[in-house]
Amino acid sequence: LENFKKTSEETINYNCLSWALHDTRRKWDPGSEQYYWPKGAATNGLMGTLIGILKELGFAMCSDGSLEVGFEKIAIYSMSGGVAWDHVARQLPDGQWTSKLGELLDITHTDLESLTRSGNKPGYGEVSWFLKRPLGTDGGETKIAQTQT
Amino acid sequence: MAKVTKRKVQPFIRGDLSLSDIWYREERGQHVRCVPFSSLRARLPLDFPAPRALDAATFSSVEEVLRQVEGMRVAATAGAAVTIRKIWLHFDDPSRQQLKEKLDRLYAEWRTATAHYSRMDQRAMHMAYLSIIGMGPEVIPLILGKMQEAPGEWFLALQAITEANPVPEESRGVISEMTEAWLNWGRERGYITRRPGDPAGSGSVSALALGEFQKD
Repeated sequence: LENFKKTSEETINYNCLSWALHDTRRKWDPGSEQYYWPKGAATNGLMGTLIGILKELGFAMCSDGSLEVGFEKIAIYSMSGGVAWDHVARQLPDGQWTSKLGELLDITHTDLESLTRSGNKPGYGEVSWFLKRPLGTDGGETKIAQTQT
Repeated sequence: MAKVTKRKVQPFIRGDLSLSDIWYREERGQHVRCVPFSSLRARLPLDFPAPRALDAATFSSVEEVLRQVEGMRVAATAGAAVTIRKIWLHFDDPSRQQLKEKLDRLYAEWRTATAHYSRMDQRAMHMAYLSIIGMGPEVIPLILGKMQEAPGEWFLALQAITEANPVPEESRGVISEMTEAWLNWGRERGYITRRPGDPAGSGSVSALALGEFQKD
C-alpha cells in the first residue's frame, strides 16, 4: 500500500462496509446469516446488490470522488470489472479517504489509487462506482436495523 | 430395610473409543473431555441401566474404571440393586495435539492470505478455510477453545461443520455476541475445548466415571 496512515488497531468487529457506513458495532457481510445484512437484500457479493442497499441508505450515484461540500461520498472497488464489490472507502471532510482493510486496520489514504491494484502492487482492483449522500444523513441504517428486529 | 433387586452389570468398555466419541463438558467448574453414555450405549449389554442422575468419582485410568464397574457387578451379584446413572470417560490423546497443530497452521495460513478481504464468502473459499471445515466435528471443541481465548472468524466454519446457527437475529454481525452465542451453544451440547492448563495431546490417559450404586 502507498500513501496511507494507520488510524486504528486491527479488529474483526467490523469490515470496510461497516466502516464506510459509520457502523462499527456490526459486521455487514452477505457471507452468512450470522453477520448483519439488510433484511430482504440478496446475500451475494454482486455490485448491483450493494448499490441497491446503499440507495436505500440515502446514497445516490455520482460521477467521481471529488470533494463536494455538504456531501459524503463512498467509492466501491471491484476486482472483477464491476461485477462484484471487493472494497468500500469513505471520503473524509478534507477530501482524503478512509478504509477498513478486511479484518486488519483502519487507514486514511490520500487518494483512491492507494488501494487499487496495478502490476505487482496488491489492491482491490479498480474503483467502479461513486455514490454520495448529504452529510449527517442517518443513512437508514437505523431504519433497516429496526425493521430487522 | 431396603428392597433389594438383583441386576447384573457387565463391564462396559469393549474396544477402543474413537476420537469422535469424545465430547467436552463443564463439570463443577472443570472442563473435562468426556465420552457420553450415549456413545457407550452400543457397547453395553442391552439390559444395562440408563443414566438418570449425576454423581462423580475420579479414576486414574480406564483400567480403574473397569475395576470399579467390576465391583458394581460383584455387588449386584451379591444382591444389591445397582444403577449406573452416568458414565463419562475423558482422556488425552496424542492425535489431539496433531489436530490442534493442523488447525493452528491452517488458520494462520488462511488469515495471512485473506485478512485484507472484505467479504467472508470470498475468504471462506480459500483452501485453508475449506480444509478447516473438512476437518469435521473433531475440531469443534478446539475451535470453541480458540473463541474463548480470542476473537476469530470461526463462525462460517462452525456453521458449515455443525449445520447450526445459534446467533440470534439481534446479534447478527456483533462479533462479541456471535462468539458468546456459539460458546453457549457449545456449553449446552457439552463441548468444552480444554481444561484450563490442560496440555492437550499429552498422551496420558485418565478417566472420569460418573455413576453410583442405588439401593431401592
